[in-house]
Amino acid sequence: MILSKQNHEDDITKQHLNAIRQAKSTIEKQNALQDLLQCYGEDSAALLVTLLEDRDDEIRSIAFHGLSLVPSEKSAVLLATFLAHTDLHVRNLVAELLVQYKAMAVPALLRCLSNPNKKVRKFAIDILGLIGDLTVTPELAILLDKEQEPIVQVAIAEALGNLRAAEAVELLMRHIDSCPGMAPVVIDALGKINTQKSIGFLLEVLQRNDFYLSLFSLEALSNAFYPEIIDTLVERYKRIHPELKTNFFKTLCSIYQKLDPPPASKINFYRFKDDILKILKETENIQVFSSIFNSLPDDFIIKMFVQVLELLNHQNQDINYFVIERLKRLDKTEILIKLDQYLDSISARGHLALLNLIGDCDLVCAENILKKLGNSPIPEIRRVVAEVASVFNGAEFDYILIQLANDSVQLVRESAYLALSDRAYYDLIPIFEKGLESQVHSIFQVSLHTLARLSPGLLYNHLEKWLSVNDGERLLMFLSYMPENFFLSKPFLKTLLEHVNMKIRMYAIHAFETISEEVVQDWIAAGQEDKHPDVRLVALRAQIRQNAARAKVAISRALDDQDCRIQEVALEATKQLCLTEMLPQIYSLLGSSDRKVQLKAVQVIQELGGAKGITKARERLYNYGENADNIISLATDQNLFSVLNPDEAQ
Amino acid sequence: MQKTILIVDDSATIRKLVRLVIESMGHHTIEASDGLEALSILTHTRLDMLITNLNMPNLDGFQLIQQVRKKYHKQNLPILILSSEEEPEIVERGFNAGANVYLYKPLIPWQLRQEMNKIFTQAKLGRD
Repeated sequence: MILSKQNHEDDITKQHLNAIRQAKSTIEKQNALQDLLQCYGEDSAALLVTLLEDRDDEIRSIAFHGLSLVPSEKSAVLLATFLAHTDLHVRNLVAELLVQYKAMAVPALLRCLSNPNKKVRKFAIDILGLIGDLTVTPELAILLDKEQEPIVQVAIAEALGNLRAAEAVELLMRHIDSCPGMAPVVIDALGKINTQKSIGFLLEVLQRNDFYLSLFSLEALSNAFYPEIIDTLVERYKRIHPELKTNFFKTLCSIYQKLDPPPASKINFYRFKDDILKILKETENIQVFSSIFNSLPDDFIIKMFVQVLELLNHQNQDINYFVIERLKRLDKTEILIKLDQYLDSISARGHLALLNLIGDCDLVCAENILKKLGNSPIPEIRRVVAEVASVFNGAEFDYILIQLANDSVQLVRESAYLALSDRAYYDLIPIFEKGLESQVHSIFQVSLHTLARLSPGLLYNHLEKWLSVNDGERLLMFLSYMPENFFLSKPFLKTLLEHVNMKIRMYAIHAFETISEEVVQDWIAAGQEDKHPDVRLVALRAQIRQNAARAKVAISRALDDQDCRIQEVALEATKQLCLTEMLPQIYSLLGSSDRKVQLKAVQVIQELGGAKGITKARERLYNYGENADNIISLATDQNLFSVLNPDEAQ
Repeated sequence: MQKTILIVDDSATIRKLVRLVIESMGHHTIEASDGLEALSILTHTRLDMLITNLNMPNLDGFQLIQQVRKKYHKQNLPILILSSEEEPEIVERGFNAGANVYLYKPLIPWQLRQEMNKIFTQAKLGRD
């Protein structure tokens, strides 16, 4: 009886496992897993562990998920048996699960420490280190003392470091030379543990004069925060390998930065000035640069100001800006006064970086530097000078900007004009009048708007001049950028709307279409009589946009126009405004020689006249000798129409 | 000339130690904690060498090397395995996957430096 019950349970177990294995979709597999978990609870682990070995990645993933839901010491014991598995993937899944199980996995892992397989011991130790349970330290310590396998010894040292096991410091110190490859890991662990004793030991390691051990020790020491080690570290400097000087200063500065507040007199950086500045000049590594440079006290920077400024000549732009950021933390005015004297020793790249420093500093300092840099041979520097000068007020800065507004390089002039437009003093009128003569649109636009604000009368004079000499280019630029609040007298409007230059007539209609005065609207409407179709088209569009009442008249007139584009715009407007009264005119467009007009007309007729309209359109098309059915089906087939008229379809 | 080397290992300690050795040689390093992260770096970074562990979560070293060689077609990228796996069949599998050098853990700094220099010298000779 008992035997048969056992057999029955085995059958159920098999059924569940098969259900997971044979499920066709992920959802089915997940459902089968849920059934298994519900049926067996914690006991599912024994079944799921076997699925971890399945060939199907998805099954393994389902098993992994299931096992993560039933953490227990029992599951951990089962999983730990897989630490010797030959399949890396299985082993990694097991390791990940055991790390997730945390304290529940610890007893099983501790049992693994006596496993004869060195790999099992190593993996168990790695996982214990990741779990971070400090109570395992004694077991790890005992094992380290008797362990013969280097790979396991190193794993213990790494785990003790990850556990920050302070009680293991002496043990680690004793084992530093236990096996090849042990020392780097022990040094790293001692740095992580970071007690006075471990740090003291690392300082001793520096005296061994071993390149790599010194390298690792310096890195490990950078975690330290004990002020008393600084003197010893500084003493070690003279025996440091020349190639490790950068690492030395990085560590020294890192410790110095952690001291709160930093003891200004604790490190005499000035003593190392040559080496420090050499490293800063030569390094390409921004992290090295920043960790050292950022730690240098203010008095060092001020004392070594010229040399610090030379760092601005560094090829690495990030380093340039880093220097500037550091300088910003000092008294800016004092810095700028000093800068003024040494400007010539800095490269163009440095000058650009320096311009970032000038902002809210003292006007006098800024003026001198901007004056000098405003004469730089590098256009980009002059352009940035204009930008920076725009935030300062005063005649001196106006002078700098006026000078730059006359620069030979367009970008510099544009920047200067933009800066000057914010100031808009009457004294600056001549420069803006000059700007109206510029070929550069942005300068013309800025000058136009500024003059419209400062002296509209003067702008009228210019307009008169352009009209009298028939300066089409200026007139077009004026109409393109005409300031919103600038009102032209009616004679001016009429002159421009009737100008001999077709483009000016077009731009004028466009510019004046928002003027609602009846007389101006009449002039715009007259544009529909223009001999040039482009002008007629602009006039039609202006009227459709601005005035619904006038739009009807304009559309009606446009439907009779000879130009196909105008007819098409009128047809579309008819449809949009539902102007059924236009239908008679539209029927006559069915006789157009332009196929697009014909098709559009059929569409509008269908929209406004419905089936009746289409019947009538068919008759008309027959009368015009057209293949009516073909045209109607082309026009009414939306897909085909969109292929033939892509713009219209959009 | 400064090279860029990708270090792939799930142990932060190993990554740090390898990084320090490489930086002391004047090269630049990038770190990844598993194969998947390494692949994402590989797609947008020009590398001169890949140093990888085998035993890692998500995507192990074998899979990473295979993908680097086959999927990303980086036939000339030198690959160095740094692993605690010592069995001859695993070492052979590493070479078959496409590794150029196999070093056993624990890390011996001078050994790593020596092997890297060898690889770079060979690469230079190949170019010349």
